[in-house]
Amino acid sequence: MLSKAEEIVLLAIWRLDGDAYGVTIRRQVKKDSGKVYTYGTLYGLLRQLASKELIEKRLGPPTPEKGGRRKTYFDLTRNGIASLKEAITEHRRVWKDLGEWSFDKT
Amino acid sequence: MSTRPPRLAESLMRRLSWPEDRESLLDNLAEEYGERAAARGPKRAGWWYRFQAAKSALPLIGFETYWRTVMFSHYLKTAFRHHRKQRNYFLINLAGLAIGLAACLFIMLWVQDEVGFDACHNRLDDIYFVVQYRPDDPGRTGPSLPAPLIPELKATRPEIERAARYLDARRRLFSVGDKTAYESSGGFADPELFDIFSFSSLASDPKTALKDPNTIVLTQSLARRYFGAADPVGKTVKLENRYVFTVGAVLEDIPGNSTVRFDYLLPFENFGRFDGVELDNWGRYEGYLGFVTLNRNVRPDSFSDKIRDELRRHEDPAHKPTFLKLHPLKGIRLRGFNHDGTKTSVWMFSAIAALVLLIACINFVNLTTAQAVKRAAEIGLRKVVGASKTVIRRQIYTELAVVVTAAFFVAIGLVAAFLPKLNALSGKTIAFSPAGKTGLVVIVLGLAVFTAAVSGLYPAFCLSSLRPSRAMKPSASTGSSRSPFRKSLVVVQFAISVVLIISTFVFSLQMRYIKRKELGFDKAHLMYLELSENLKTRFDGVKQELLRNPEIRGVTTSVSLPANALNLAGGLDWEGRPADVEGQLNFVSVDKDYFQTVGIEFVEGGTFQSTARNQRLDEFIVNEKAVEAMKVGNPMGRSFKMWDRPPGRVIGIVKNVHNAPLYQDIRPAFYVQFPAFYNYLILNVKSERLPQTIDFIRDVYEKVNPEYPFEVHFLDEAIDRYYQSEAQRGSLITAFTGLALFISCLGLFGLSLFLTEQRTREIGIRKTLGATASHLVGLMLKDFLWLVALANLVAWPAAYYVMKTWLQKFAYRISLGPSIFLISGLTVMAVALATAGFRAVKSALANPVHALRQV
Repeated sequence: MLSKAEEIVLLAIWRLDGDAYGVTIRRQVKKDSGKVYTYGTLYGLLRQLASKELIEKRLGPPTPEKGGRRKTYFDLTRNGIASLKEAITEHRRVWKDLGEWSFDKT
Repeated sequence: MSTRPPRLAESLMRRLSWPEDRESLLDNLAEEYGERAAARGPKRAGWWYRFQAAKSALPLIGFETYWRTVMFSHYLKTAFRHHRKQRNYFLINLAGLAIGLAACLFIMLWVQDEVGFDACHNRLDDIYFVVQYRPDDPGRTGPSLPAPLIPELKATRPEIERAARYLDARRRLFSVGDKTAYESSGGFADPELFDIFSFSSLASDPKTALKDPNTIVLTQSLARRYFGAADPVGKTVKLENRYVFTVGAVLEDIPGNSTVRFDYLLPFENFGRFDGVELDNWGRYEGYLGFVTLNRNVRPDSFSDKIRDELRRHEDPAHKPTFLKLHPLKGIRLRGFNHDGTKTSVWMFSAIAALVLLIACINFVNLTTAQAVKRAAEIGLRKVVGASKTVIRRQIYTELAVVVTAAFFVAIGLVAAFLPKLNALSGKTIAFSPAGKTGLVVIVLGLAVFTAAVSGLYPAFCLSSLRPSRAMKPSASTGSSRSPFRKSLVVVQFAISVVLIISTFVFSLQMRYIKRKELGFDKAHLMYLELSENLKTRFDGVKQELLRNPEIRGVTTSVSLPANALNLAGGLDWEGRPADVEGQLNFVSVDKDYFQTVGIEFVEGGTFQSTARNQRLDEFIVNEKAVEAMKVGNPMGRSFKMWDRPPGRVIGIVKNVHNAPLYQDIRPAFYVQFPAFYNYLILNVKSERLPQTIDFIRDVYEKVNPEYPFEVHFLDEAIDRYYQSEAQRGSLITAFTGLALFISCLGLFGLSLFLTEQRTREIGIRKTLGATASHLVGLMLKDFLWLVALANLVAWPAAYYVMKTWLQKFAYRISLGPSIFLISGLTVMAVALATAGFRAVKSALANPVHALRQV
């Protein structure tokens, strides 16, 4: 089971498709959900996802503006993709037949 | 990226982030910071960075603690399982450590008491003694001053803010109604003492009270003793059956570690009244303490220079010059006036505390590493499934923490339980409640953590670096009995024990030597009473009365007790005195039967001829030391002059007797009949039928002196009191030595338990092949024997040095023969062998079938 926050971050990484690192993930999350994560929260989530082996780290090419150091990118693992699939299925099943209108009746 | 992110925020992020993500996190922050700086200026970007850092801190810490807690509860669980499985070792470790910590805690309480002497006075830093000193004799700095000096200084020197004199009042007869007893802890003082020191008052103002010469100030406990729950203020107290005082104020009890300490206080004028001293006499030096505080902006050393010559103005110019200076109250307990304070003892006890704790630590290390063998498989497995060194280390530290925490609480309990006993042993009044001494408890907690950290260091590193491939093999022998590290620790441990035992041994031998030393007079048969006024005036009659009893061999009187007859008198002169010899000798006032009664033999001449009670001071007797000091060859028949009296003659020379405590050499002394200075009635009594004799003395006494309680003392008890503080220190050291040896043996017991367990099968096989039990025991003990022997070799020189230094204190001391060292060494060896042998014998006698069937 993914938590909501984990779900959002995973999805952002998937959307970024290979260009996911701290700055871009944070930006993507903001664009998708409107939520602003601090880097502390973001890295906590990333660490959690990594320990569940849903994402993995990848070192990018050396970047001249960082003195030749490599950026750490994040990619979904096969498990990660599977859990996203599982999440969406589950989401549909749980919310089946329902819409915002369902809660309007008092 | 010309600008750098804010440093503080950056280092905070660096500190908080996980090592593996650190670079990446910082890079990302820096990147966005760069973008923001380019778009909206570095200032706003800087603030953004700081907010990011601040908001990130909490989640970062949160995640971290969560995982730590998960792991910690796991460690805790395994630690409990481990200790339950190894119950024996756990108990041994716990006991050793708890005792070690308790000893440490007590010594720290003791040291705190000593170091914090006078800390109860708010103005401690500002209080100074006025002392006299002699430039040519730096060892003589001290409080010996003419009585009018302090009032005069106060009156003439504007630099002085407050000044007061204080003098211990000796034993005085104290009576309230029909309650009568001697009180030995009181003082004479000037009212400003209360401005200088912080004594808190319970009822009315003590300062105003002391201004009235007929008022007495009591402490709470003394007041309770005489007045019970009633309010004592305004009631009367009678001293020495003559002087009546009204209670003016009641103080809280003075803390045990205050230099100025009393149960009651009288105005200083009464010192003159009681002891017949003229308080305006500049020629007489009294041993009172003169305290001053200075006004702001006055530097004590420059003030010292100003009053330096004050004494010269009032002094007889023929004497060697004495000067005045200020000496701070702070540190007086530790350093004394002449470096004769308790500093050495404080160091010694701190060292002992450290050593005891070290021994406990060594136990810990030894037992933990020894068990490494048993745990090798467990740790190997943990490593195989992915535990890092750090994880193993944390696990081991958690196990230690469990023991240490338990030991900490046991130690606190032990100290609380045994404190009254230890107080009695050390002559202190330390109170201990963990709540009241938070600082100290924190220190001990720190000590416990430190102990755990230090003693865990080696086991943690040794175990965590086991290689799993080797550890899992059954033959793995890391940390076996052949470990040189563990052996050297055992050697250290026993070396410490040997040093302590030798010290105890030398200590008690020296004390026994002092007790038994022939002092040159008949100390075993001497008893004494204090002379009251009544007895003094009717002394001759009382003496005749007493001598009628055949059990009493002699009766005499003296200013001081024969074993401590020091009372330096200056202003003497004798015929032919060389100019460079100062006219001073110790002055002992006695009557003519003194020598015969006390048992001092004459070398030449004889005792006083006149029975004069007219204070003529014309017959003098000197001891052999004085003959040397006078430097006139044989002084017999020479004229001898005391102060401003007409000269008399030397009529006898007596043998040297020990007239000073044995720290010091025999002092040159002269004896004279001077009835104004008789303080004691001394009796020589046959030791048979002692109770009847004492009853007889009581009857005579009570006839003359009905209002004074009868108290007769034995001289040798009084002599023992001179060495009381030394003896107290001795018994403390003995106690801690016992503890140290006990902890060492606990460790050794644990180790032998472990080693014999390891060798169970080997012993079984040997036994089946025909080895005898004694052979097997020898086999197992051989190792320990070597270790303890080695420990002795290490310990002897150290102990020799330490005890040699200590013995320097005594002018009369035992010699450090080899037998002391051999006996101590053998004792330790015997104890060690008994400890280790207990297990060895048990396993050697066991049925080999059981041993072999195991595993």
